[in-house]
Amino acid sequence: MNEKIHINITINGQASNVFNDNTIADIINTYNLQPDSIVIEHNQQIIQKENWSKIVLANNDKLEIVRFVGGG
Amino acid sequence: MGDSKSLMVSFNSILADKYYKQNYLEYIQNIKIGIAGMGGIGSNVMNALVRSGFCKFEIIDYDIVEYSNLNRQLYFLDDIGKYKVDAIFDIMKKINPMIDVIKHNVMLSSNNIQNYFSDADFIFEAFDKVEYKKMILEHFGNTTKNIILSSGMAGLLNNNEIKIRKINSCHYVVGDEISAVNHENMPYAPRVLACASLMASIALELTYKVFNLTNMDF
Repeated sequence: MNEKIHINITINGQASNVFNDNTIADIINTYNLQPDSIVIEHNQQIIQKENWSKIVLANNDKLEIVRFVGGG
Repeated sequence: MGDSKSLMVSFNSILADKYYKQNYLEYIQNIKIGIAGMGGIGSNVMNALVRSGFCKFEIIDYDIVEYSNLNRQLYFLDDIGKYKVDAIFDIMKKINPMIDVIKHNVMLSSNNIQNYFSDADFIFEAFDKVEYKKMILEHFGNTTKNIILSSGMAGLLNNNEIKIRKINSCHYVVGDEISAVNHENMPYAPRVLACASLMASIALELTYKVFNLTNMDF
């Protein structure tokens, strides 16, 4: 069994510490975010919802979570 | 028409004489602006951009102007019942008669979004519903277009929380990202216009920076 190690990523510009086996979906669950109200950019690429659980985060990754609320 | 033409000349010459160098004005006049939604955000973004000298627009909205819109949207009493894309075009022509506006009186959906904004340099997301806001970023987000999105401008409080958040070099979110419009928290002119003004300011800031980089004698 592989041992979990911490990696450093950036979430919305803030330094953050996550495990090396964390996927984008894990981060969304950790922050308790509503999947239907957010868009994810991973290293400046928009990631569609169906791929959130397929992408494992790597050291120095940049994640941007754009949370939309109604009104405009 | 003669009057419109002379008004146009004077509007552009005022901009060139008083506010901009001629070559920067010509540069922004050729920038293509897409605006998705012509409500509180879209109508006020367009107002700021037309007054700032932008001329080329592609606008989308399916809705008509209602009385309840007048508390924050740019329309007037005699616009009620008109399609928003028609009403805003008529209002904007009173500022600059020579603006070039492609109007789409349609509801955007995942089935037709590929028909719009194909040559836009900037896309302003000005919809009210979350699913349509998301659709703009998801559909256009992996292109080189500048995308300016709105999120969180309801209510009367915390006005200093309306801000620009840069997601990357071409994606920006404006708003407090918290205050959703709902029955307890309605949209009012001050915060909606603050949000729209900050959104429009990004088009001026980015074009100004690009223009200066490519025209060092500016």
